[in-house]
Amino acid sequence: MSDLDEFKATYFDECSELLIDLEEQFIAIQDGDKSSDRMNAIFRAIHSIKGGAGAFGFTSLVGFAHEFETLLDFVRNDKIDFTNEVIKLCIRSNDLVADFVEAARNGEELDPEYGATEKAKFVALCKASSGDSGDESGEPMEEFDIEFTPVLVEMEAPTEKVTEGWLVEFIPFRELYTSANDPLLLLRELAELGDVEVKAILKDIPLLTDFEPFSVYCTWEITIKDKDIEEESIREIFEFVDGDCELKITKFEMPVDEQAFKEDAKSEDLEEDEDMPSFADLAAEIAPKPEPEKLKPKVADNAADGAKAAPKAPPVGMQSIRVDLDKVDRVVNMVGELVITQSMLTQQMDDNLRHRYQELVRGLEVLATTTRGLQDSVMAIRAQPVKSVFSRMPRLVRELASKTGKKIKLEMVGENTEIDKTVIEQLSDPLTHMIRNSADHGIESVEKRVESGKEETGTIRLSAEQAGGSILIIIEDDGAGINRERVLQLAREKGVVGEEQQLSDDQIDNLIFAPGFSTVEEVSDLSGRGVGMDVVLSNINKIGGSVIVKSVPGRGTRMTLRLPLTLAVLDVMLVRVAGCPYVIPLSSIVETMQCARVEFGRLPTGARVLKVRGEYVQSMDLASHFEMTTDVDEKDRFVVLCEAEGTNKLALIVDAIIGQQQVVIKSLEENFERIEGIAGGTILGDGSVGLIVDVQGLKNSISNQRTVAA
Amino acid sequence: MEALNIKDDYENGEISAENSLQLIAFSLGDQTYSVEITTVREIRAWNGATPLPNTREFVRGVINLRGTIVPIFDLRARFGDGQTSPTKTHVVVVMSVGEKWVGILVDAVSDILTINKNDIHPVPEGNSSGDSELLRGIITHNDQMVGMIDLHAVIDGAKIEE
Repeated sequence: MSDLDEFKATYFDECSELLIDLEEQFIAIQDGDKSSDRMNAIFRAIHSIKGGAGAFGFTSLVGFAHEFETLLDFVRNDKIDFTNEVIKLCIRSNDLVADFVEAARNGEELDPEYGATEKAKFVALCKASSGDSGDESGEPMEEFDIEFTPVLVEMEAPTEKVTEGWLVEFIPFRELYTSANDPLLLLRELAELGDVEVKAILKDIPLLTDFEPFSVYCTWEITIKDKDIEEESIREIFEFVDGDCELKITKFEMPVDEQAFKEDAKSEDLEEDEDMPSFADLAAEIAPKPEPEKLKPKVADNAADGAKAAPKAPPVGMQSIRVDLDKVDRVVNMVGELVITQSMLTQQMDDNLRHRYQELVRGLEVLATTTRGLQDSVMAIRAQPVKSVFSRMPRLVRELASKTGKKIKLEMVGENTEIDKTVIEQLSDPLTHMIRNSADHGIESVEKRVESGKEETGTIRLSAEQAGGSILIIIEDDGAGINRERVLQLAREKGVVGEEQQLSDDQIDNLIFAPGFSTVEEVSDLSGRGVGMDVVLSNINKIGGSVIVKSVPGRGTRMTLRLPLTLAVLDVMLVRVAGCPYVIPLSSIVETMQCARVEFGRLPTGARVLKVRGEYVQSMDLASHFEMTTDVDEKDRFVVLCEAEGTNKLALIVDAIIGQQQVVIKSLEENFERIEGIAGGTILGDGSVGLIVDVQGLKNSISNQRTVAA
Repeated sequence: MEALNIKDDYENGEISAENSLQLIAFSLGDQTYSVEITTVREIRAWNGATPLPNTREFVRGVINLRGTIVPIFDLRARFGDGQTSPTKTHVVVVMSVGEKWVGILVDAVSDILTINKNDIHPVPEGNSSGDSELLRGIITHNDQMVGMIDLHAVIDGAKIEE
């Protein structure tokens, strides 16, 4: 990977973070919080995206972001009323920015007309407001507009003294370069403001022998001879390098000769130096309040102002580092091994040893606590709030609402609940599918809702909470509920359910997860796509989770996802089959029984069924399924009753049950390939490899055999 | 050119560096086979493996190599001579094939050979057993035939296709 590719990857990482943040800000704004802090956060985020895009030459993204930014600037300067109309436009534009970023990431080029309507709206809004602003405030236009109308100058003249221009001293620090900023770009942007004279101060450049390639020797003095520019506009250009450079902006009111001017500036710099740290705050303080009187005071006054603002200024930023996920994964894996070794050691201590080596026992106890603590801390590193998945949903719901013509509101609760990153990655698709399902099938059309006396707007509620060792994610809608008659009828037609079979309401509801079942006859653009909810279920099962549906006709549907907190460590039951160790995930085990104490029946096909509590369950001899021979007598063997999905159970017959333990999942595919019926491997306490039984896979292989036989 | 001459003198006409290839030779019954030394990661004594279901007989199972699961192939079974009955003196040669690490079970490691690339003979074609596909070439060492194993071919087709 070249350096540029790496920078790009970082840029896109940052973009995703910024877009998530933007989505959050807009949700807050939609809920009525129109504070200037939010507007500034949005503005900065869009500006960051634009800046990076410019550096990498994503012109269409830059073009759109620029117009959007212009609009945002008008809004935050109160030149445009932040009406619901405008908010809607902004949210829509935010989605478009996300599209542009996505296209740039994939190296695609969007239709040149993409976002043109929105762009036109921005321009129209800005034009309308700049017409007004001439009458009202007499402020110059936004920084990116280079053409200034004479009206503005006339209006400004009577209210305040004419500024002749600005002297900007720009002293970049090393950090500015290390974070890949280029002074040239900044200077160019400055030049867009007006007539600029740039002077590079080269006196600090040492002889080549003393020259350190990574040091910074060059500073600049820029004179802007344009009286209509506000200090704020200049500062905004340097907003990105804030903290990475020293910036002194002084204004001069007469066209003085260069030398005299410089001295003047220097004396002011002295006063200002003491207050330097508050400069960042100063910019933050000034930005949302562009009233002329705030801008008029000279630097010294401003500094005082800034100092006052300091207490409520935001903290220096979260103390965080970016770490390659691979590195974290390695630590997680090793800690997993450690936990297992530790529990193995503890198991080795029998009563006899315990009495003899009490110190050792105490040591092991401390070790146990420490490893648990270590494990928790490491898992916390990799844990992420579900927000990163949830934040994509509002957009999805908006799109679904506009496509279906329904009115849908999305409520989200508990976005800050943290789950392991590996689980989060697996969560996005199922969640998207379920939300689609709710919007498409759950929520009724406006007319229908009114007819049945509901609010016009349907609500989908997405919530996350931690419950013991798992996370519950609940998707609830107040729609029509599952049409049980139709589901059952369809299931019968498709042969998912036998003609005579009687099902309880809950069983019918859960039929929507049955393989090959889809309640919509015609595949709709939204939720159909040929795959049904069975894919959701298998995805969730894959990560050791489960799904339950509850529905009340006419009132709504609730789907509950139960997910493990982590995928790194798995609670399993260790069993023996034909002399080989196998492990079965504890989450899928219902109960275990001795073969001698249960009844088996035989189907005409030759398959054996287990009778348990009046229920007949398909049974499978693991040894013969895996084509191995066992010499353990039938009556000495054990039955492990497993439950892979909602309603179907599977009885696995094994030679012996060894015990329960925690294991770290290892991939077989890394060095070999996927094997049917095996979900992976794990290293057992004695160093040998145990194989993890894929209960879902075994179940599927049975149904495949059945279809082949039929 | 001068440097080359000196080297030739020094090595007394032996194999020059750019043409040489080092192989690890191992025995399987009375036959000797070899693999390139650069692919070999580790040689360890046989210590059992966990058998894998639904695989061909030449897949002996998987072992734990410092926390990574590595499959073991029985070379004898791969060549169609039936499964090896391994003892503690049998050896697993762990190698990297592409991105993957695999082990092959052999009787013993016998030698390290330095050969000239030009001395590799092609494998005669038309062998009905298909064994020729498992070799990349043949060399002669001490008047004995040494087959060079084609690792990709050896590990291919390990899974039983339905």
